[in-house]
Amino acid sequence: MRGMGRHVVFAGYNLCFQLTAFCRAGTVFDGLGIMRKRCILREFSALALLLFAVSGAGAQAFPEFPLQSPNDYAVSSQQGAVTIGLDPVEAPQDQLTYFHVAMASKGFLPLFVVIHNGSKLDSLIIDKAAITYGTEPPKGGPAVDNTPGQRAAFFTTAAIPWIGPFIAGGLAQSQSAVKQNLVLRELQSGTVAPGETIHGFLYIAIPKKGMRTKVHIQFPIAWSGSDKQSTLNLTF
Amino acid sequence: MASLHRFPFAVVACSIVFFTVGGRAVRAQDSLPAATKLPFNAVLVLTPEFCATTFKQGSAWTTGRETFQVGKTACSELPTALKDAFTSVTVASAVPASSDAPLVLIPKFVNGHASTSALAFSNREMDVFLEWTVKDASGKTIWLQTVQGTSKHHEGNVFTHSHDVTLLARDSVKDVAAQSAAKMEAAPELRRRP
Repeated sequence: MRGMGRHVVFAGYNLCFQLTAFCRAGTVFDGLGIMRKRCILREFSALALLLFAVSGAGAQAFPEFPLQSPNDYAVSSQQGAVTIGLDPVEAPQDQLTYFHVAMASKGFLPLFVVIHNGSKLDSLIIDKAAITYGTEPPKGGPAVDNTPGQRAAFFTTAAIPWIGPFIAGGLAQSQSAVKQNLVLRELQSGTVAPGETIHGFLYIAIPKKGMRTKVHIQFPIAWSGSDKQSTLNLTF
Repeated sequence: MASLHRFPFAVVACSIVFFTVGGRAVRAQDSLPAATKLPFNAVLVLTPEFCATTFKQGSAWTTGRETFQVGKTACSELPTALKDAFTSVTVASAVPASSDAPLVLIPKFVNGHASTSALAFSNREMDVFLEWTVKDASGKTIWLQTVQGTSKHHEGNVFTHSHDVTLLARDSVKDVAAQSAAKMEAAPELRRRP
């Protein structure tokens, strides 16, 4: 937006100067004051239109992503009092609706995450930096051992990237509102009090082209003031 | 009279855009309702790395590189903001041994983003995200929370832009400090500690 905005403003200056030059030229040819006044009005109109267009371009509305109970999502898992629901936003049309950018073509999949703490006493701690994910190798790649406990070794696990690095990488470049929306909707680390729910998006790196393979994601579960820890695994 | 009509009108019109300068900051978020003070002596860990935190955005080749110095402001604002939330707040430059402190507060900037606008007098918004890890005397994490701070300032023109960037960063950090204190006061996990 910054780049676009400055370009628009500079284009506006250019337009102003060009219109002035045009008016001067007109004055020279016809020498009528009335013509000059019309030109001034034209300049005012152009500037007003420019300002209107610029202010309108910055006002983008991003609809809220529908929130449901974690159990209502197609991908969900429960362990003890903790329930996690996942909703990968795969359709390009949905990505355009909620983010105003086709993220899959940029190599990212927005994943809506809902985490509910069903405990009546204990608070749940979600550390975003500890969430990891991995993708299965594509067809034709090395065979996957389905033995539980060995399976993880075949996946490349990685921490969920912060939205910051790939903003710098050029996703939705020059669209400030789009970037801000991505940042504000991102799932953040937090403590979930008993009976409460947190939600937000994770942005998973996927191949830009071709069908994506299965994604395995691990949520470490920790409890406030306790050494008790566990991990919740989901696949989609 | 003729020379008056030849006056470069565009210069006047464009100057309206160019020389419209930013004014007072607009605070976007209201503080959470204040709760009673937490009855603990807390240690606030402000490492040199934290105090040097900056966020950079933009490109030096196209739009201009902007640097938001959030750490420096945070290290001056956080002790002041948190002193009203706890019985006492002591500042340390490193995480103390677990047994030395009943409550250890460790802040970390995790993200920051400033929107942009096309005109000098248009408001832009900055959001900073500060992640708090609060540990008890035994070193266990009892509270982990990401707090968002927001501020709004004018984009500024070519002469005032860098000053407006400084104000934008300063006010977003002030806001995140105030929000942090309010969230800590309201956190049941901190309130029920012995």
